[in-house]
Amino acid sequence: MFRITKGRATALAAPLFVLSATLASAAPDRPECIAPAQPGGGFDITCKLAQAALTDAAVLDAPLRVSYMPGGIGAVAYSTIVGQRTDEPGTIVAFSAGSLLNLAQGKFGAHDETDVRWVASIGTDYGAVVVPADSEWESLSAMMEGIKADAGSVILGAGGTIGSQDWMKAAMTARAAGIDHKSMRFVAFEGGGDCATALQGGHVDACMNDVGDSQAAIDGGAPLKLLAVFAPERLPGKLAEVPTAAEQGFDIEWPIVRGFYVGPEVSDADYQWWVEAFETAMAAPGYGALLESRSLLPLPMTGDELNSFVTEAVAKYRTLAAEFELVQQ
Amino acid sequence: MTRAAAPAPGRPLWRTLALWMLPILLFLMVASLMLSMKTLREVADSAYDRSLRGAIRAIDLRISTESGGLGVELPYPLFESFQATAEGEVLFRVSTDDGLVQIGDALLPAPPPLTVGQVVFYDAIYFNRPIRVGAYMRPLDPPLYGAVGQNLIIEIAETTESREAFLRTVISRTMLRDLAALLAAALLLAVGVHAGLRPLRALRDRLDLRASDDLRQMDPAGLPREVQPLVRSVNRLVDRHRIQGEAQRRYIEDASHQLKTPLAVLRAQIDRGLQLNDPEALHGVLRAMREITDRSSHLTSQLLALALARNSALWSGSAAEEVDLSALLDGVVRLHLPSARKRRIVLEVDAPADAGAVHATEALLFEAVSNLLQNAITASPAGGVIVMSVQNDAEQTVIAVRDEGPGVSDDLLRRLDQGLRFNLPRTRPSWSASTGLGLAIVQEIMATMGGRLVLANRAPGGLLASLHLPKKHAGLKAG
Repeated sequence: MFRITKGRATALAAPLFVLSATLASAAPDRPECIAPAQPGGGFDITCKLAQAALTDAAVLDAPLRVSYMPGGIGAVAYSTIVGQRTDEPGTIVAFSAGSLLNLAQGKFGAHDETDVRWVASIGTDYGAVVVPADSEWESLSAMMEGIKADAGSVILGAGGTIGSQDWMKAAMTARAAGIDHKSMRFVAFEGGGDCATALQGGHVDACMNDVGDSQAAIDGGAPLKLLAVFAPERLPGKLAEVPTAAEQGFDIEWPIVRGFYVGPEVSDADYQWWVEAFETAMAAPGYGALLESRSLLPLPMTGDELNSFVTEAVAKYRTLAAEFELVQQ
Repeated sequence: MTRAAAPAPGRPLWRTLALWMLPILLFLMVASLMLSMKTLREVADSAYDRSLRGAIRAIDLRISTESGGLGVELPYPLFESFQATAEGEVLFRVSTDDGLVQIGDALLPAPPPLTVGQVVFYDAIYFNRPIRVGAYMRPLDPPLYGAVGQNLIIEIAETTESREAFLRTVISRTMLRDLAALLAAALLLAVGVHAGLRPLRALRDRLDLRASDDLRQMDPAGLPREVQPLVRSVNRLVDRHRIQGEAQRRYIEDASHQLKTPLAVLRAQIDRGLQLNDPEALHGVLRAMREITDRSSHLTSQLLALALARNSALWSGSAAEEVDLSALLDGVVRLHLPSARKRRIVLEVDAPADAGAVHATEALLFEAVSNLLQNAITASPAGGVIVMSVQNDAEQTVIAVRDEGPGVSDDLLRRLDQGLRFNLPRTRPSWSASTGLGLAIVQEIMATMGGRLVLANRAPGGLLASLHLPKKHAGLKAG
């Protein structure tokens, strides 16, 4: 009922505000950010960042509501947005490089990257290897030696199953260390948050997480430590002590773009409203601090720029997935 | 029963029994163990599977679809209580059958085809470790993202160490118990046999304490039934020894008696000769004396032959040899030809040119045939015919002597049929040419050789006496 009414309202309103179309679209009624995982992971951080930035920039009157829809690291949410909630103007869904990787492998069902409307990327994160603070491993190379000695005894946790970006980071590191990636034990979680919890319980030995969610957990008091970041160079601030994977002999970079998309049938006006809202928010003076507090680096892209970035990334990931015999059709 | 250092000390009875019994018992125990292993495994599986089923239910309760997504509350706290009872490791995977969602141990082997609402258990291998998996599929209601007929699959696996350890414990206990039972059986066997043989040891003591001339029968009463036949055999043996001892005593009496008469006659003749002056009459006395001496000499050699035959039974078979029958018969005939001629008796030998050979002691066989011919000549009417024959068949050699005399009495034949020995004649009505020892000697010799003496009266009159000698004479038979 609500959606039909809303749709008609937009259609009627459009001619009246034609002169100032770009600014004319009203802010959506009940804005919602779907983090397609369990709380505490990268998607959660993405939504929380949007929540803070949009509020700080005063773009939204009502605070952005964050909801969680776990299932296949975004697969369920993607399918829901493409199939059921196609035209909700107030709903944005967080995505990451991992979502694009899964899209490239066909893990999001019978959909591709053209089935949604990509709104904005708001920053970039990097992959990280995180272990308990009291772990015997002090470096990524020590951990890979441990896996080499007895692969069956080391349990790697990952936000996502075989083929996910977390798995991909481990597989690429294993390949660089001369280990058969098929010999490694994996436990899949719905996002990095659950993995960090299992890590603290001693149920997994290491998580192939992201810098953002790992550091968030550490900042929250979790007894964890980072062994490596998959970044081209050391990160600024308190992460400066963590060596890159390349420094430890594993020449792997894994940047994680974070951003949002909306449903395919969301109107151009509403889509444009979100694009401008994010542009405004990311231009705000306090935005840099917000990023830094979440251990993210800026990567502001919106609209067409983001669309072509996504297209390129999916193509690149498709090639990578083929290298690891992951593509399923 | 023999305690003395025998060349091969017998195996103890309890060990013989144990050697028969224990391997079979062992086999039966192993076989029953193998059978119960299968049952035990099924019982263990069903018990351990039940806890897997419980874990599946508990995880199912932790699955939420309220957000429109599919979330699982991490089941690790649940596993911690679960693992307290199961020693191994617990693995899990929650997934949708369309493959979009996969949470947990991603590399668990794919489950077999599942039926909605049913828990399926199966064995699998996970990173080279055997695991037991319980898998359960149920429809997702409501389905995610509006999909149709979407199912949720929950798999729980545990490594099988704990159920293997349980099985090992049960099986090793069963084996220990069986082994203990086996040892107890062996012990009881030894004790039982020891107790059961106590009457036998008492019997041995009774025998050991006997005086050497005590030939009384033993009383088998109070002995185990299995041993009574043995006691009766011993009694029979003792009895035979007694009879034999008596026979020997009688033999000495008889021999003394037999020799006493000619000696008395000789003494009388000498006395008579001393009173004679007439050289012619003295010469007559001396001739009579010579005849008596000849007969005495003959009697002595007969007695010696009898003793020899009896002793021979005690000798080893070393005296036995291959005896050529043709040569033997020739020798016997030559020996008796003069006495036969004296009475115009015709001696015929009816034997094949190559009569073959028998395995025997030559002197004894010669004596036996010689005795039969002597008897025949004595019994034969003057001018009669005596036929000696040899017949061979597969099993025996028969040497027969046939005469035309009066035959023998029915009483004598009956005694022979009954297997009785001839006794030496106790009384002698007249001092005849026969010493009367002949048939007793022949019988004794046949017993020594394992042969048989057969006497038969012939229809028109006459006697057929034959020696039946076995072909393969295995050895000397105890007399």
